[in-house]
Amino acid sequence: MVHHRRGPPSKRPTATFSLNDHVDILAEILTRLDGRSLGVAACVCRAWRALSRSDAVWERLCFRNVSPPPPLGTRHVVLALGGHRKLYMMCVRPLLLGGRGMWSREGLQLSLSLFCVDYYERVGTASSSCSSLSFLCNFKPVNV
Amino acid sequence: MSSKKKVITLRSSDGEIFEVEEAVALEWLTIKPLVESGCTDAIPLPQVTGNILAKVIEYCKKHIGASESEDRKILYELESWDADFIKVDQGTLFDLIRAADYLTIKTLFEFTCQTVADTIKHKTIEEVRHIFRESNDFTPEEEKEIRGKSWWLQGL
Repeated sequence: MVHHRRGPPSKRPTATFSLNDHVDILAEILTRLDGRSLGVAACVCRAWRALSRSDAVWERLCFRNVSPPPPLGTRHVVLALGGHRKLYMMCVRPLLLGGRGMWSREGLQLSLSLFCVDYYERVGTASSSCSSLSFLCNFKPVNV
Repeated sequence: MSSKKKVITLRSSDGEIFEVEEAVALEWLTIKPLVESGCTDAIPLPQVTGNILAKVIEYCKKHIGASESEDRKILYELESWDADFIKVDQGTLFDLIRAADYLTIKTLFEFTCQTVADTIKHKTIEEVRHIFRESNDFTPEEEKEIRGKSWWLQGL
């Protein structure tokens, strides 16, 4: 394909590009890191820390390689059970490491199931008050 | 002879004129409606300089059709071409990201963002600060808190 020069040759912009001025782009880059690198990124400066801690970045990290993406309702469930950072560190990362980076629909479902089980286990040990599903953690046989 | 392929004219921020095949321009979602409407004037791209636009066009021409190929040889060749293509200085890399974002070119945007992410992996905090020329704006207390423990493991 030909192109024709017109006017002066292109010059490099004189202003230095800072990722901090482009939060959307920085967020895109951070979601492409692994959990450890995201932890390092959070220590770079305040702007990076704020983004690295946002649940949306961890959500993208969790579901980046899942196709099709999980349904919208999943987000609310994960948030209610502790957030996507927790989901990633406890249930996604171990599966990714064990499976050499492979990430299938089944893997996603398994990690979400483990996350739910863990949540209810924590509810069972941290509090004796009744949770809707606390019977799963405090199950006692009933004599009929 | 086969019919001549339709050509779209683009004008960079510094006045350079480029011609690209319609099929390439249709991959750029920002200008897609203009292209589809049959616009024959040069499409102005005020946020992209000529040298960056030339790189963007080079990438898209190489990738059109090839990315979907299932031929492993073609994909391997493309991967190798990509590796050479992205051997640019940091300023150019960021300009490419901004251009891909502005023009909404998904493949180029993902590729360039991934390239930047790969430069962060396995680096220390100081190395990342140095690469991206970010200054440490934490207070000594915040710095201590951050370095004292792995915050991303807290509360698990």
